[in-house]
Amino acid sequence: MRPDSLGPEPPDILPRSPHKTYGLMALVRGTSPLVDATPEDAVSTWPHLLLRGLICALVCLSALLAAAMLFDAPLHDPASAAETPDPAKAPWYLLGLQELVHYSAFIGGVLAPGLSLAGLVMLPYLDRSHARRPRDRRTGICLFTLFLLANLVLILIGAWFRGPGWSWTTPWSANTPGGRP
Amino acid sequence: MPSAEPGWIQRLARGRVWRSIFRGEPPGTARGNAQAVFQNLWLHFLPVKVRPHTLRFTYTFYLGGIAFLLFLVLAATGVALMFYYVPSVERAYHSIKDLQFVVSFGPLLRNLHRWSAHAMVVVVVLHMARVYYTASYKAPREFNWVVGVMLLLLTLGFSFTGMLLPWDQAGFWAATVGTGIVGCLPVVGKEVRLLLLGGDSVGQNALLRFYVLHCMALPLAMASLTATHFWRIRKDGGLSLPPSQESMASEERVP
Amino acid sequence: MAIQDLKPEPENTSRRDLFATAGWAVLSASIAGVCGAFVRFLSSNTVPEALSVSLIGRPDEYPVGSATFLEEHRVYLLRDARGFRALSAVCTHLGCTVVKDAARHGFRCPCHGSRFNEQGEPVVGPARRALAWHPVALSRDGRLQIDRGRAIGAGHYLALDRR
Repeated sequence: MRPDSLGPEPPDILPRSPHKTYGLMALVRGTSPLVDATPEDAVSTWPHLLLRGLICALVCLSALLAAAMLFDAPLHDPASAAETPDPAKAPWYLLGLQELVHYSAFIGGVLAPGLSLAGLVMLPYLDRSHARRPRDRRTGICLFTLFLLANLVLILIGAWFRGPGWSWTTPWSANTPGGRP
Repeated sequence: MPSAEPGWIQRLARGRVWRSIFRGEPPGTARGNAQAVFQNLWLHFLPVKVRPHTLRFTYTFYLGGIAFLLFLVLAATGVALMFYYVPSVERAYHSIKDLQFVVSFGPLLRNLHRWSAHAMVVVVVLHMARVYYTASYKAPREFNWVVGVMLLLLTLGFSFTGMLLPWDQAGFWAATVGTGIVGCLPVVGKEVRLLLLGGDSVGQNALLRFYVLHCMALPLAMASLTATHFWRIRKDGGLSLPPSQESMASEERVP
Repeated sequence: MAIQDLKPEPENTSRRDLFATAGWAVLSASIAGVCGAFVRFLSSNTVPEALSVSLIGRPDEYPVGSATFLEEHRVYLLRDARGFRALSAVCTHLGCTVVKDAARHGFRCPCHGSRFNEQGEPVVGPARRALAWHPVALSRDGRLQIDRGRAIGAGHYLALDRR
């Protein structure tokens, strides 16, 4: 029997079976995701989530297979310490770093990436506001977008606007190397 | 279940062998659907039920899942490539040439490995951007963001170490310059560079070290951190919700 | 047994805390020691190196005014009126191999665009230090030898006319 101290009977969200016994498993602080809602608001993971995942995986795998059949992974000349290719371009995701390093090895190669990394790691501890709506966090969104854009611009400069000896060039000029970045 | 003639799947699912492998009810009923998830070792970290919002493609673009898929593709193709690749200065380049011209499906596997690696860098960065823009790094999910940044670093580490393995000009000079940058680190730079290279310059020792990092150390780190990342999604209350609902659920933790 | 009997005495608590702290400290120290040993294990005590002193042929193979790239040594051997000098081809910025820049009488690095003059001094770009000068000497049988293991100050020529 229910002692009075537990207060009124909670609303019967889950229909209870008389053939089973129910026990209290845990007390959880806070609101439930199902507050003001019936359990039907949640859908079962199988099949809803997992089938979508499967379809997404198959689409991605098809795309990858197509890419792998159409485009060959580059293999350059065998490694030789005697000759550095000109221009010696890093893989595309490091071209931004290469562009920075071209100004200074320490500032571009250690300080800038180190500070970016520290900033990224500490981001959730620095930005402690609980604002979640985009209009409440305009500054943050601007800064982060700027950060991403800066990286993108540096990569594009490295990929298209740097030629032999890391000098300026344009993608449409004659001395742009044909090699893939 | 009212059924006229059970199909072969149903008959199989009722058989002894099937039931010895998969305990519980087959999917289809509410209980069967639930058991399909929580009685499966590989799925049990997932909740049995999810909010419909979680499924919306335009909220997550499934980027985290795609990154994980790419990691699986990379692991599978990587193990396949290891059967032919020899991490020796004399033979590495030729083993890649063999993969390209002699081994059946060699080019396909190598291409898949390379393009998946590139795609993974893109997808992981996009995933990070998505998490930022939806404010999903905020409490209580701060630590999972940190784990995510470490996973991004590991992804780049995979690319950097993997690039040297074919022992071609691109990889050799990327490794030379990359370890040169490491050498510029204050105080520990020279020491870390020596640790990475096992010598003064990119040579046999460096190739072997990059190989061990690429094929053993980094995958182990990646697997454990990925598991942590997934586990924390669940523990931190599932995927973040749109701002209006999130404030309600922000206190909630799955025990 | 009453519940308060189970509670440890205050002195006991502090003694237990001390032992627990000491235990954790010893455990942490052991783990740190193992990590340190592993790092030490990974940092090789021997570093593979080619023989640093190499014989590179007779002086008359290199005419006055020539600049020869000795590929396997990554060294430029230059000869002018003052004699021979050997300049390292390893860029002091991040280790790429510099190339002779015919138009500007110096060297340039293909990786990040550093430029050096004929004496190996940095002119433009991110490199701050000069290219290393290696000693050039004559062996007893009259052949040139360079020592890539040593760097000497700029301006050390091997002059042949003195002999």
